Amino acid sequence: MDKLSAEDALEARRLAGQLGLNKLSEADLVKLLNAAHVANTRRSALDTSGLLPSDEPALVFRLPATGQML
Amino acid sequence: MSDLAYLSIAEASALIRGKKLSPVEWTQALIARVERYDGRLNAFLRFTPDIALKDAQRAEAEIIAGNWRGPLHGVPYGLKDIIDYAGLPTTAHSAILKDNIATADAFVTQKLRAAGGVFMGKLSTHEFAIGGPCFDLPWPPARNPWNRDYFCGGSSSGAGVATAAGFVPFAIGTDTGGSVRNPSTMCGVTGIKPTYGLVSRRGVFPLAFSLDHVGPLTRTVQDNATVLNVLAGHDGLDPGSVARPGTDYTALLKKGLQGVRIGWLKHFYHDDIKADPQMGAAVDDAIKVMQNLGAQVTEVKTLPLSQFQACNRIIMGSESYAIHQKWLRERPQDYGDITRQRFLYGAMYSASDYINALRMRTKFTADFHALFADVDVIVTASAHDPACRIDDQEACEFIYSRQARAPFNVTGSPAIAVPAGFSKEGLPLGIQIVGAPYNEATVYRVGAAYETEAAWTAQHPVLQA
Repeated sequence: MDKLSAEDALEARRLAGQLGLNKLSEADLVKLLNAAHVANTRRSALDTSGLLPSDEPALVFRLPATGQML
Repeated sequence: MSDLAYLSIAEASALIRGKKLSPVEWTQALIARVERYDGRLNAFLRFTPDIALKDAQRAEAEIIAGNWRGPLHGVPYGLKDIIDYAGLPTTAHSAILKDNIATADAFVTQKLRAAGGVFMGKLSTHEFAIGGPCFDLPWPPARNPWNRDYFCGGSSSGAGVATAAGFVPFAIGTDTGGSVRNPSTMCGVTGIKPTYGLVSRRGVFPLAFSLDHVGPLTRTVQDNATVLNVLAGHDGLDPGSVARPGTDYTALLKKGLQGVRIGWLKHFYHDDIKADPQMGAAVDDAIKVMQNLGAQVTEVKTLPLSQFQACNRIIMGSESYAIHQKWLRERPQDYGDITRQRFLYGAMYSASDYINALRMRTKFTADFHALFADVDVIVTASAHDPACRIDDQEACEFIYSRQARAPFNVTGSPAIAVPAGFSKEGLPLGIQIVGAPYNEATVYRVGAAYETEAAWTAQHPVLQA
């Protein structure tokens, strides 16, 4: 996809505006829509259906042990 | 004495200590080599022969006075240009940071200076360690020394090229989804991503905080372990750094493979993403060599490669976008095209996408590390393909995600890329050896035994001026 239809260009410009990416060129808007597609693919590829509410993320807030500096 | 360009650290260090090799003469020889050949390879983004000569003169004077500091004393090296060296720019190969002068040394730079290393300069990288190969940046991309028309891998591209080309015996790179191991495989050198937290990231421009690792590229496994001995250590100023008892990573190098339990992670490159036949055969052959050396090989299985890759990319995209959002909003055209595209992926992930990827990471890590109850190391592919032409953007993009390195950034495991032959086009092939957390010594043991038997590392590229 090298060039956007008028409709897609409008949609891409709206999306860029929501993200605060107002200085993207027309060519970058194509990249932005491509990025949305790739992100969707990756999101779908990661099977999170087995997660339980208590499953914690790999990084959690942790205070240092007493006497140690942050 | 071997050719000065391809002296290993082990050989050179013994000669230097015995006052049979002058660090100054060695450094001068390597400077001359860089000046002769790097114009066609672009390994160095900022070459610093003046600093190198001063470092070498200092080292030589100290050694003559009987103050030998250790195996890196008087040994030349380079740093990927996202690693700070006080007083020099850290550009990340980007117009965005072209005037960014480092005010302090990175932790690893401190370590190498304290060890008496000879600093040769800053090395090319893919822009911000993610976008490459780009031809629209202030500096050209590094090129493969085995054939300059071919991609050299990345993002620690200059580190791979400089080491393979005989410009330095070692270089320091970084690895967030495979960026030490990819150029190692593409250039035919050895590179490790140590366990997360073993080597401090302080003073290294981040790509993705929770996936970034710093590691050495060398021409031999022994040299790699020697450099890691210097780099490893707790740093209270890196929140990811882990305090561990000191380990000698060279301790098991000569132990061989008798009785070592090797898990063959075949489905990553046979089924999940089918490797190029030459690359796949190289990994299969390496397994046979290890078996012949006395290793017990059993096939192991883990989650599909696509799961690990999605997890890695969502975390990397989210964390890197948080770092680059401001510049992407204010000066997007100062990034290269490929870099801008890759950072824009991160704009598309929600907070819950990121957090769920981190939650899955916990599960993936536990699942993968459980395999080490039955095996000592795991062997699989590093890259799924040999290098493609550097001017073929489509091919570079195609092979970018065809790799088995990103899983071990997700799990934080130590993983080394070791050369495993050459394609019919004369380009390097490689394997990857992965260990349990903090078990780098066993990873090196297996790598060293294979390297000695296979003897691929004796071959070097023929450079053209």
